[in-house]
Amino acid sequence: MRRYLYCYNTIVSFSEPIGNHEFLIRCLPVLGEYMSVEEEHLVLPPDYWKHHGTDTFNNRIVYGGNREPHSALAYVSTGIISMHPYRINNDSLPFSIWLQPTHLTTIISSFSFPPSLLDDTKLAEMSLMEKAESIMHNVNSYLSYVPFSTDVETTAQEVVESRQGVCQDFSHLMIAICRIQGIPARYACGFVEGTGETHAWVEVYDAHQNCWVGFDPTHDIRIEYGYVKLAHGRDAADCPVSRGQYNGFTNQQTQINVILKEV
Amino acid sequence: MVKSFIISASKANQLYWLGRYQERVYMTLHQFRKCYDQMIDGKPEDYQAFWDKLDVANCYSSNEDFTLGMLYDENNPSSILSALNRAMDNAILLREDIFTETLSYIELSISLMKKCKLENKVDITLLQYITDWSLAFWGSAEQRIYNSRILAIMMIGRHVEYLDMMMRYNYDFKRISLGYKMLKKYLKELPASVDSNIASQLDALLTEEAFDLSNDEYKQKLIKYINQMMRI
Amino acid sequence: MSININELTNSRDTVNRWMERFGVRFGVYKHGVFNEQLFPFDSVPRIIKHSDWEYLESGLKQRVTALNMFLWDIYHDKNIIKDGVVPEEFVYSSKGYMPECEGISPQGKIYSHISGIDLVEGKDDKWYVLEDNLRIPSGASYPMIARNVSRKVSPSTFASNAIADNRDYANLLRDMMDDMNDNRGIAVIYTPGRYNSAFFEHSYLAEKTGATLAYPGDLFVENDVVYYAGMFHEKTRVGCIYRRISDEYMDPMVFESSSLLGIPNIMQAYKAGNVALINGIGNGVADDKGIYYFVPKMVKYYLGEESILQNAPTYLPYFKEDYDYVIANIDKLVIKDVSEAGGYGVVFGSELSPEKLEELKQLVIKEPRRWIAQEVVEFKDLEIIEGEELVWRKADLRAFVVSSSKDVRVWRSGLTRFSRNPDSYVVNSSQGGGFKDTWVALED
Repeated sequence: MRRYLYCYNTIVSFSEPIGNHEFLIRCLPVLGEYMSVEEEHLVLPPDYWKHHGTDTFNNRIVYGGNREPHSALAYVSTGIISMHPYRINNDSLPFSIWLQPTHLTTIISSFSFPPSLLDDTKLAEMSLMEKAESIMHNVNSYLSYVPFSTDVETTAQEVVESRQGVCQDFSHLMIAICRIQGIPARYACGFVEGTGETHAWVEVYDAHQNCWVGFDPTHDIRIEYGYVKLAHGRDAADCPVSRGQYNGFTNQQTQINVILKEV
Repeated sequence: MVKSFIISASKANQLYWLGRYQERVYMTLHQFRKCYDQMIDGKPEDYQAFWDKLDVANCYSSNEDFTLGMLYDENNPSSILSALNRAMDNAILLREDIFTETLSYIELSISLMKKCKLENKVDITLLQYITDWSLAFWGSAEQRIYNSRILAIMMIGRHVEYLDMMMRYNYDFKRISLGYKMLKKYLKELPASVDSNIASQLDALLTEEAFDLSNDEYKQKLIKYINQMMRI
Repeated sequence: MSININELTNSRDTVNRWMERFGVRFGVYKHGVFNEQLFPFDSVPRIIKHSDWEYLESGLKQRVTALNMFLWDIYHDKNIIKDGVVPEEFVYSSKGYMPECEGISPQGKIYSHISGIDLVEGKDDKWYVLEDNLRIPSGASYPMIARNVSRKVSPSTFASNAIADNRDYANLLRDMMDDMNDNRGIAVIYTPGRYNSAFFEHSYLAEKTGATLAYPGDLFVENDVVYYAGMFHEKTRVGCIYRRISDEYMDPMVFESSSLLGIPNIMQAYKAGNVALINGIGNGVADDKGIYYFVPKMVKYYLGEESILQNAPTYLPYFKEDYDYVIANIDKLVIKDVSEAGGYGVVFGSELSPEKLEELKQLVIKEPRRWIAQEVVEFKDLEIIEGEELVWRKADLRAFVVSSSKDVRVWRSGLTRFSRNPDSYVVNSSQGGGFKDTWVALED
């Protein structure tokens, strides 16, 4: 077992006051066998109504709103968690959903994969986990990591053509290929050490161990420790860390800071 | 079914402007008829005086041009058809509040005007239908609308437009102060929407002693305040 | 019963003038420009015999009851999948299946409060269901207002014939909304606005039911409760929303994040049981092309009865037996692509060139799961007046079924749509079709 201290804060500021602001955030670590919370604090401004709940994937959510004019939303989520190796039990959702392509993870059937990315005959001889690992390697070497080259709506199809992206794109491409291969795969997001921002990776279902295991195609590693998960879903659109909507013509500035440190 | 008497901000805005445009149709037509009568045996530029009062740059070269433009030109914001279209833009969103029967008077007017436009027809007697339907619209609204605030907002719009037009056309104090009294009656239904500062300024300006529409500064001030009295 | 409609059809100009007066329109986008058009109305009604109607009514009630039970089952225990009646791949690959609805329990177990079931009468005198519409079926307002006008224009036609009055549709809706509202607050009809093709209907139904017509921005959520916002910052609670925007735009916090039409956090209020959504979210899984095949099986599974209404004969190449039949008869069948995105659409095998047909066959062989095939149903044509003459055209019937926690009622009328093109089976209003009133005879 290892223990980590995390601290996540977001400051959204608006150049002009906004109103009718509603938000939904996923900034509390998931609870389960691989991770338990020793201490946690979530600080949100007092002038918002807010509720705690879970979404359909059992991720913890906090949502609320403030209709009166205001110029900022700031919140801090911090605590200490204890972590075991990254193995996550399956939940009650129908398993098939992890095999269906979604808008962000569809690659058109006529696309011809270069063998360096997907080689059916090579994969045929491997076990499921070896396949996943091989797909991760291939995705990692096929794509270049280029900050700001894509956005939250970039699809796996666009990524496979442009061959560049960030952690979200690496993850989507790996998920898309896994699903084509009949391997149940899903998108996860959370914190890793040393980046200062949120990160995304992939979970693949290991039928032998009956649990989900983690792969990080951006860093080309199989995950054991040091990944604090906030949420998972079929793709990034299912589990954004934060969403909001408001009325007003304004410039929005968002500052995010993440600290994760083994203690 | 529980009926809500709450009026949303956007609905209030639409009701107000429906009232204004619907009254603009009536008043423009009224003024236009007078002007048309003068042009029968007058000079080609006679429409100019009418036109100037509406604060728009001259863009018609003859009385005939002007007549067609004033009736049917959808690019001329002061035309009858434009005012009807704007009235419809608001009314179409308010069917459940004003009822299909009330809305249908605008439908009938637009459809007649568009038909005449296609034929490029100027028949002053046909325009009487537009006037009739405009009055029927208000009759239907008063008869049918049971939420008094909904009716009040429309009536406020109607009287603001009425006063604005009468001031532009230099009506006398008696007529204008009567219209102002009516406006204040409806504003009582929505005290929170009245700009009280402007209201007291208007009260001071609209006295028999102070009244002088030949003073341009005074006139512009009146028009400005009337338009800003209701915060919507 | 013989029905004389001459007086009515002779007055069709008057009828059309009244339809225009009442603004009976629908919106169409052509080359990106929005236009409102009058919905062409044909005054020759479709008349349904009383005995036919009794059959249709019981069949529609049965079908919609089973569809609602299916939706509950899919988002809860999934027994129909566990028992092998519907294969899971047909459910979870459907675009209409929404995992976000898992475990949400709508009031009275009703998902589809307003169901629009599209039927055709075949040349064999049998009725066939072509499609179930369980999301936001539209069209009921048109026969309602057409009847209003027809009765004004030709009272004697109605005096001398016993025809069910269809203007009670507003009462059906109102009773259902009252039941769903459960005294929590006001009932609203939520419209995306004037530039929606069915805006006339939204505003007309609001007027006739007494519900408040709400636009984007009028509703908001606070502490899991939905409110209607007033001009003075006052608010009133909303208990039931008859929404006319699609699932994916309803809540930008959960679905399409760029949607400006939605009500942020409405899904949390819905989940908490604080507001009824009419229709429920996630209904698309039950009116999916691939699921249609299984509806008669659902009736049997949930109700233990044989399905009264028939589907058009349908084959799923997914099953071996059907696969063989489809491959052998592909030139005679209608082939429909179930995967909506980038789909192949609907094609008539008989209209394809040999090369295209072979190409389609290869696609079916490659991915059998993706396709359904149907026999071409020979519709009975209906008479319409074109200019001064009577011509025969293809027509369908959309029947409306209104379900509350108390009962399931079938509206005694329906929207009859016809194609104006003599060779076309497509009766869609956006494709230039028109509509007729549907008369249900009160006696045989």
